[in-house]
Formats: sequence, structure tokens, C-alpha cells
Amino acid sequence: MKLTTTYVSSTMLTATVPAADIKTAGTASVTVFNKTPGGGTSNAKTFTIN
Amino acid sequence: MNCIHFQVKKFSMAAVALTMLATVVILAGIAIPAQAQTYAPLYNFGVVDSSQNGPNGQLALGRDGNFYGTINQMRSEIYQITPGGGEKLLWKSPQSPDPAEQCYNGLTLGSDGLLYGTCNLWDDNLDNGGVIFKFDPTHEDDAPTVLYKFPFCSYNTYGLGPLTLGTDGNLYGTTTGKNGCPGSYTYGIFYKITPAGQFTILHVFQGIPEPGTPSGPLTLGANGNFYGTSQIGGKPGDYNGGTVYQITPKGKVSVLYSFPNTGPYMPVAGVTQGADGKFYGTTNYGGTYGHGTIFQLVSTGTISVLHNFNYSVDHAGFPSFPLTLGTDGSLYAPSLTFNMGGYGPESLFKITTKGVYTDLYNLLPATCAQGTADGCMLSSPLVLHPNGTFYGTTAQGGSVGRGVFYGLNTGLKPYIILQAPLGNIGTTLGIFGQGFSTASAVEFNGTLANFIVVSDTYLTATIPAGATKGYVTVTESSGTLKSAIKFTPKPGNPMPTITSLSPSTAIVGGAGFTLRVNGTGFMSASVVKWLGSPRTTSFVSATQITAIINAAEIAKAGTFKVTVTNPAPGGGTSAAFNFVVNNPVPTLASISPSSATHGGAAFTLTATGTGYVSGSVIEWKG
Repeated sequence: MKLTTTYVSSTMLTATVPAADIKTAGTASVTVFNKTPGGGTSNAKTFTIN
Repeated sequence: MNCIHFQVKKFSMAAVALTMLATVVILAGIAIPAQAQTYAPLYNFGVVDSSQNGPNGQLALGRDGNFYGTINQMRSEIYQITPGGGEKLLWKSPQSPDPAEQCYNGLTLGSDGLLYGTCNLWDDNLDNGGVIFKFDPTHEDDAPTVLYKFPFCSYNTYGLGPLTLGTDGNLYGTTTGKNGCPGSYTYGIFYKITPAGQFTILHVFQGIPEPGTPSGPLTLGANGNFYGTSQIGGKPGDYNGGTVYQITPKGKVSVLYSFPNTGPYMPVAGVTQGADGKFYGTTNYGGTYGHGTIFQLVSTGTISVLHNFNYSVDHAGFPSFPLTLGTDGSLYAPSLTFNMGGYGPESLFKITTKGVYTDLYNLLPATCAQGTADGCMLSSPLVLHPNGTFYGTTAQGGSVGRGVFYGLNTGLKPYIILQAPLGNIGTTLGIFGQGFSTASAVEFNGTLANFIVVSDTYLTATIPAGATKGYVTVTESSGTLKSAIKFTPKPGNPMPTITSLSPSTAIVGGAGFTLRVNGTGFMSASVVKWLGSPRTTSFVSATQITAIINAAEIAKAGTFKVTVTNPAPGGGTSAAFNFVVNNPVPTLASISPSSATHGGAAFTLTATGTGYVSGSVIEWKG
């Protein structure tokens, strides 16, 4: 799911994670995506939901 | 010097014919008696225009197939006249406040279809030493637009001649120099004026050893340089009888022939380039009888006298009008001998390049006055209309006494007139003729050209790639019309092409860089354009140029078209080559927070890494 993202700088982004996405314990994979031309998907980081 | 002087004699036609069979060399200088030519006064000036004076100066052939000319003194006029003699007054200067225009140099058609001319005085305000003007023949009654006023009695600005159209669309001319004004005598200038009125002095004549006091029209040669005559100047010593000179469009002058004080001297009518590429002219004085000569410039420093005028035999002498090239390769001109005092014999003559002189038609007025049907006081050079008939004017005589417009039919066939004897491949050339509405082909020495028919009497053709020096032809329903002169195509600037870019991509947000453009046809004037916008360009070679691309131009991702433009003549813009500004591949170093308690509230997630751009999106896969 694409989160509504705010560009802060070339090294920082922010996004709001809705409460619905953390209703259940587990993990989520977080990546950053840039569209073409070029672009692509970054490596992933794991977000833990306790 | 290799001057050849010939005796002038008159032979019977039979004798001439026999001589022609024997050898053309012997013919050089022979005068043939007047033959049956069709001379026809076609209009009596003053009937329609109510002019107070007769016409003077060269006639300009308009795109509509009609002639345009000037009537001068005290109340200048510009008129149009059809080949059939239908006259229409287009403009007449106001009578008050006491105007005193002196516009007697005739008109020149510009590449824009407008008429350009000079006046030796304008408005009688004494604030000028003459003007250069332009006039739109389609807007009659509108006053001419004064493009430039020569300062009154100032340096080098007295005595204006007619203008000559250059291949660049600008008009070129000379002045004779300051005379009759305070201060020392000067020797004239060579100048250029653009259709918009930007005036530039290209050369200041110095007199000996340079030309001095140029007079007569300039002729644009097949090599792109101008050719003219000067009344004085040239070699030092016994040489001060005038010159034939060449001057480049940038103003570099060279003397081609210096007339000595003895022999033919004082050429005043310019020179004409023949179909053989050589230049032909006249001297106002000198020669065997002292009545002037016709000469051929054989080579630099050498002339051959083709004819020595004897006015009592030729009914011509003291030539002061330019020679006009006929489609038969011969040269034609009017001549009047009033220099001898009072009104003298006048005639229209022809001379071949071998020196065979023919007295075509004599105007022999006992007096030059109203009622002299043929007209008198010949007042313009001959113009060979595309219909094959010569036309000209006289300043006096005719039913009103203010001159006539006449035609002289010598049996020449219709032909086409080229706007210039040379031009760059890829540029357009104006062509004047008749019957163009049925034109089906235009060829440059056999190479087909694209063309646009503007009217039945005017078309433009694009000088085709592969064209070689030769005649231009227009094929139409009635046959094929040919130019009187060979046209010289010049290579224009190349059309550039792009084969590769280096680099061909960039990352959005990167620093500015130098773009290397590889291809063909590059030149020092080539310009690289980024999305059609010019960029600072450096020439490396015919196959490589570089351009500065600023950081701002790659601040956004996308595909950007790069082109190269070469200026005219020729030239053009290359096909576009794409330069791609890519988004980076992002990396993710950390997220914050990296955990939360289930059932909690929404929160802001911060991603830290590299390669983020406006439009980057954080993706969540739970």
C-alpha cells in the first residue's frame, strides 16, 4: 500500500501510517519507491507491530 | 597593357556578311548600318500624370511584370508603366512648402518586392545631402519611407547613384564624394543599407591609387562581388582617367583596370557582366575619335576596345548609360551626344562581344521639343523585359514634350530574369518571367527545384542540392524559358545531424555539466538547443560540439529533446535526440519509529536514506 508521503529532503521522507495498518500484531515491510524514468524500489526495512 | 584600337567603318550588309564568313576577328569594331528594328513610342509622359518633367533613371521591373520609375526635379514622382504603355502615377511629392526633391536615379526592386531608390536632395531643407528611400508599389499615394538621410555637405556624401541588390537582401551603392562644399574634395564611399534602414559605410575611396569618384550602378558579379567604374583614380602617374574596380560586399576594393590620360578614359556607366563572364563597359571620352569607346575587360590590367564612337557616323557617342545584356549575348544601350552642345543625334545600339557594332535605331530630332514623336533626350538604360523587348524612356519630346516610354523589339525571344546571378543552395531565388501560371518545372542546369508560383510573372525557387553552374529554365505550357546568364549555386551551411550525446542521461537533481554532442555538419555558428532553447555552445570539430547544461535543467525527471541549429544560408535544425533525466534508485537506511503497539493510533513514519525526490512514495506491506 502506498502511504501518503511528504518529501522533506533528498534523504528524508515522512508518511502517515493509518491506525488500521497496525490493528494486528506482526511485522510490515517498508520500502521507498521512485517512478520512472530510472527510479525503482529501495531495500526494505521491517516495522514491528507488538 | 594590351589595348586594341579599331577603325570605325561602315560596310554594306553584303560586305559584312562576306566578312562574317571569313573571320569574326576582322569584324571587331565594324559598324553595321541601322537595321529595321521595331521602335515604338508607347506612352507620352504628361498625358495621364500631368508631370512637369520627364522621367529619368533606371526602370525597375516589378514582380507584376510592370516597370517602375521616377520623374524628377522640383516635384518628384514615382510611376508605374505597363509594357504596353499604360501609365499610372503612384506618388507625387507635395508642392509646398517648396519641395525640391531630386530623385533621378531610378528605382531598384528589393528582395521583399519593395522599390528602393536614392534622391540627391530631399525636401529642400538643406538638412541632408540626399536620401535613400523605399516605396511600396502596392500602397500608392503613401509617401516613400526615408531610410537614411546623408548629412548635408558632409564628408563623402554628395552625388548618389542607383542602388544594387545584394544576395543578402541588402542594398549597396556608392556616392561620388564631396564636391562644391566647403573643405577638401573627397572621393566617395561604398555603403550598404538594410531594408530596415541600417546604414553602414563599407569603404571610403581614396583616389589614386584607389578608385575615386565612382559613378554608374554597381553590378553584382557571378562571384558575389560588386563591380563598378570610377571617373578618376587608379594607377599613379599618367593614369587618372578612371578605373574599373571590384569591391567585395565587405568593402575590400581592388582596381581591375586604370585608364590612362590618353586613350579611352572616364568610364561613367558601370560595367555589365556578359554571358561569357567577362565585363563590358564604356568610356565617356577618348578613343580614336575622342567620342568614347566600348571596351571588354579581358583580364586584370587589360582591356580590349570593341568600338570607337564617331558620333557623326554612329549617331551615338559619349556613352553614359550602362550596357544591357541581351539573350543573344550581345550588349545594348542608348546613347545621346548632347555633350557636343545643344541637341545632337541619339541612337540605340548593339555590340557583340566580338566587337560588331550595330546602329539599331536613330532618333534624329532637328530640335528636341514637344511633338517629337520618337521622343528625345534618352534618359534611362535599356531594360530587357521577360517578353524579349527592350524598354526605355526619353526625358523630352513626345506629344506633351515631357518624354516618352518606348519599346525596342530586336527579335529576341521571351526569357527569364534571375534576381541574382548566384545564391546559396537551400535558399530561394526570385525569378521574373511570363506565363508562370502554367509553370510545371524549374531547373538549375538540369537539376529540378521546388518552386512557388507567386503570380503569372514571378515565382520563387529553392536552389536545389546538387545544382551546378548553368542556365536556369522554367518549363510552362508555351515552352521552356531560359535565363540570359548562367547561375552560380554556392554551397550553403550544412544541415547538422546528431548521432549521439555524451552523457545521454543524468540523475535528477544532479549538478550542471558539459554535454558533448556528436554528429555531422557542425560549424562554429552551430547552436545546441535544449527543448528548443539555445544553450552556450562551443565548437570542437565538424563532428563534435559541446554545450553547458545547468543544474536547473535536470531538476526534474523526464525526456528532453536536444537539437543543433546551423544558421542560413542553408543550415537548419537537426532531428531531435533524446536526453533522459532519470530518477535515482532510492535506498532506505532507517525508519522511525521502527515499531508500534497493535491497536494504537495513526502515526507519522519517517524514512531516512538516499535518492529521494519529489514524488517518492513510502510503501507499506503488512
